[in-house]
Amino acid sequence: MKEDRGWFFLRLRTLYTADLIANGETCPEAPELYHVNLAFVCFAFFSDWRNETGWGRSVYKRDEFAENDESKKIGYDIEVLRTEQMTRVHFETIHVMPYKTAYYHWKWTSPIALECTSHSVRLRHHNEHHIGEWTPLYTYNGQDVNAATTAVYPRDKPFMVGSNITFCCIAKRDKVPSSKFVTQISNRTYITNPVPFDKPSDYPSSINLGDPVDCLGSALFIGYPPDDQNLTCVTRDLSSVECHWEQGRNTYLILDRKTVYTLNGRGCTFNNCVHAVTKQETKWTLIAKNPLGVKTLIDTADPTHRVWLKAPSKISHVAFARKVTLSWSWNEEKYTSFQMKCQVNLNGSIYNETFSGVGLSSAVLVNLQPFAKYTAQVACGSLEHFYKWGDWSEIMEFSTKEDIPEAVDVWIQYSETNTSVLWKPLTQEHSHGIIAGYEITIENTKGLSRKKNTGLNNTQLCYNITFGNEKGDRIVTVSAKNSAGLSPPSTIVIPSYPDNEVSISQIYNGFEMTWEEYPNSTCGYVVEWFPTYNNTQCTVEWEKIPECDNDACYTWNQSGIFEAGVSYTVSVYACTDDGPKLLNRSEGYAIEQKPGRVEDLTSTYTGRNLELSWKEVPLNQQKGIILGYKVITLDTDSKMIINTTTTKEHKVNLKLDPGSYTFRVSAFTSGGEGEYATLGRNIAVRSDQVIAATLVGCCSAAIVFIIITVLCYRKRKWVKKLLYPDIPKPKLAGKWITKGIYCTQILTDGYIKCEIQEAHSVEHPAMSENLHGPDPISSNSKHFNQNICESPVDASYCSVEKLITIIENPSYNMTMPELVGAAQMSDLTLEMQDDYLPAPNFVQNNCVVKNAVGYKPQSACHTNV
Amino acid sequence: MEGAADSDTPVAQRSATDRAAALARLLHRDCTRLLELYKERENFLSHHVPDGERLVALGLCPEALTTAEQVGHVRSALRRCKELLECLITREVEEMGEELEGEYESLRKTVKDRLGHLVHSTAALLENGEGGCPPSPPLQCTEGQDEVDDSFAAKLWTYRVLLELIHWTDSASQTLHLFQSETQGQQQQLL
Repeated sequence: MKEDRGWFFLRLRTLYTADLIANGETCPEAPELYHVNLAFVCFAFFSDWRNETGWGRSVYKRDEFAENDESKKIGYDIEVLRTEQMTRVHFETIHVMPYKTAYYHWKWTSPIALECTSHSVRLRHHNEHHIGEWTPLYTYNGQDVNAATTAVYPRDKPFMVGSNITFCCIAKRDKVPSSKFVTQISNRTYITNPVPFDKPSDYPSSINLGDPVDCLGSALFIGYPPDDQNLTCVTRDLSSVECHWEQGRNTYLILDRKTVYTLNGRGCTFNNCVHAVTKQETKWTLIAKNPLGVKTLIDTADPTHRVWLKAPSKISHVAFARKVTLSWSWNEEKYTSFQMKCQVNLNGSIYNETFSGVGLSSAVLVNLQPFAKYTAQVACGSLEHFYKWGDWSEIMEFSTKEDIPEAVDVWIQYSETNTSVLWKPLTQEHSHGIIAGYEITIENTKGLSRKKNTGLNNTQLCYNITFGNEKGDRIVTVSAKNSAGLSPPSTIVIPSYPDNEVSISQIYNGFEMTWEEYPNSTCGYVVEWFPTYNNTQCTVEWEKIPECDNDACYTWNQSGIFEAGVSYTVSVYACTDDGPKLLNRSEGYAIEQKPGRVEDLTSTYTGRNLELSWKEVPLNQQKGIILGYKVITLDTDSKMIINTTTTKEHKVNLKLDPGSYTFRVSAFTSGGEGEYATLGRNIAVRSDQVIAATLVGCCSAAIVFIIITVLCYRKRKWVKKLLYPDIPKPKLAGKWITKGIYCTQILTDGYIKCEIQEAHSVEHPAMSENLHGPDPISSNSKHFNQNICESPVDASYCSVEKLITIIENPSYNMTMPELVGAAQMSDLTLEMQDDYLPAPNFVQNNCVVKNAVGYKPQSACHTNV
Repeated sequence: MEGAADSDTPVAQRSATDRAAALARLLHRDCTRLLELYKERENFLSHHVPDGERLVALGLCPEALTTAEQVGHVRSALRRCKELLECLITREVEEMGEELEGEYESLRKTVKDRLGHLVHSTAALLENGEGGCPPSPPLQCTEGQDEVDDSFAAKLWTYRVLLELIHWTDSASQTLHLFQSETQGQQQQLL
């Protein structure tokens, strides 16, 4: 049921009567509407027609109509009618040249799909004087003619992104589709307003048109026309051309809508067009076409200028110590007679020479490193018309053979007891193989003796020279050996009396050695360095600086080779024929660090001063130039810092009071402060000072006492009057009470029940009322105030606590820590019987309680009278 | 030995039913997600209510009385769903090619594979094969698709197929759960 999405070619042949035109020429007898293409894709008529004679294949595009002399052109009216109602939707007059035999081409695009309703087209001849008759209508019937059809158009058609598409619905008779179909154009056809489709999609883009019965929706393919670019045609086998290009923008059209390609009229697939090379063919035209458009790409070149060789195969090698021969073969027969050049990728870098020849199949690489591993690849290109390098061959690995080692780097080391010859181990680059050992020869410059040792193994890098009784300098020659042989000899002259007389300069924070040119230098200079305080045998390092003329030859500055916190001695020697000549020597630290700890921290008294002294930090622990010492005095108990002092000497004097102290002494360099040494010390008071102070104090106290005694004696009357005045006798007034304590009952829990009875004078009724009225304390006593106390049998005391329990005073409920004894009570009774009234309010305690402080006037045991 | 074999059988049966029920639940979730993905792609479906009769109808099957028979019915429906899904895939590949490999296409394949497993595993649960449904002839993809004559109609048909998948996988999930419960109860009674 799917529709054919291709072109429909409908041919119509119509004859009509010839007319004469004004200029007397015969008008084309009658245009014949010969060929009408109905393109569903873009709703267009492609109308071809011809004049009366013959069938041709020439098709003129519309914009060619206006060419040539306007006066000779013939006009045609073209009319397009729509629907069964024959509504004119387009009218156009075109002018063409009156060729005897010609085909003319005209195109019109309908805004709606041709299936929506019937479209008719006709044309007629037209000039200034005469208008011919219309050709018969050519009508393409819409689907609305078929009474059974209900459908939406367009559907399943490709459209360009950004198209505005008008949909039509062919509904059943007397049925009106949904409101989206706003215009009726025929009896059964309704159309929508244009709908924009702005986004491409991998899937068909669907639209819901809302009519569930006849015209629910449609799906379209929204995409782009082809956008292929950068066509390049090359030959790889010298017998065919293959073309490559880039696809460009995605068209979003697939399957039968995807882009199809033709190269020079022959079909091919994307990026895979291969054609045989012909001498005439130097232009390649690629046409990329899909339903939405066509893209044409052209590449013009001579195939012999577009040679892109394939990779060499079967690459092999023959390696020597310093060169290798690479060989390969070609799989393409025509390569063997082709002028080519080749390059080699050696260890990832392009070899600095190219090789050329006809059908080149080998190359020799020289100046290689002996005893080394290499990788090599080969690629070739056209020598005559180089276009680009071909593909690389597979990577081939090979190793060069061993060669004799390079000369070793020799130096000498003087120590107090020995003189040694040292040499550096050869690197892989310089050893040219596996070092089997070394040979050393020692000769006297006077030719008196010659000593040779060939048995040094490959780990020995130092050899002691003994002068013995022989005088004269020594010439020492050292050679390394591997399987290929001995290295060139390295010779050094060792003076029997080394010249080490040179002043040593201190340096700070890094080494930069400079020296002046030494005129007798014949082989450059040597900078030597070793740890100043750890100069053991064979620990010297050196660097040879070759002879040259610029200032850089007399400066040496290295960083990163010195250990931090280690003192180095750096020396500069001139290399002469008579042996090394010491020019300059320095000591110092490349990088200073915190120093070690001072040693032997001690203290001594000098009068009231305390002198701290210590020994300096050991040399190998100084780790920098000692700038001074820091002394901190702390109180031992509180750990408080009392004093901080810095000094450059190894001692310090401190004035301190007696007490217990802790002393911390640390050295410091530019790298920081080192660990401190600690010393504790008590500073005691001296005994003669203590005795003198005691005597002075005692004497002073005795004198003051005597003076006070004498003064008191002489002023004794005044003192007595002041401290003990005479006390007047008390005076009694009125009758006073009788009071007694009666203990009448022994209770079972060990207490005695006692009663204290008081009788009040009738002369004080107000007081009695006041006390017996609202006072709850007195509520039990009625006429008498009565306190009942219970005392243990074995003690004649009335427990105050018990009293508190019995007579509870809510507002003064205080504890009573002491007991009141019966004897005391008797005393109180006697005292009260004495007519003494110490206070004017006439209140007195019957149960008086005493303690160490004195009266407690508000005891719970009190009874107010 | 015979007793041991008897005691093993219920366990194997139960675990097979468990697996089938779990697979049905998983498949139901997959189908629901597949429809979500399809509706994300085809926005116009968000307000569309499909009409017409069901794509998968069990008209030839006798009325299912027992749960086992219901399982047989569901299996027949799932088999038809699988055939519909295969037709759907064929149609979409014809229309869009095989180059598209998004989440929808991946899940579409997963659903097809799992549907095949579920059809196979439900068949293994049934003693009498179809459970009363006569074997139906293989579906021809062109069958009943006279109206599916363009891409838009194909999308509507795809939508209906996906709805059928959701419906029948849900039905399978429930029926198998019931079948599992009943089988378990019977085994406990026997023990």
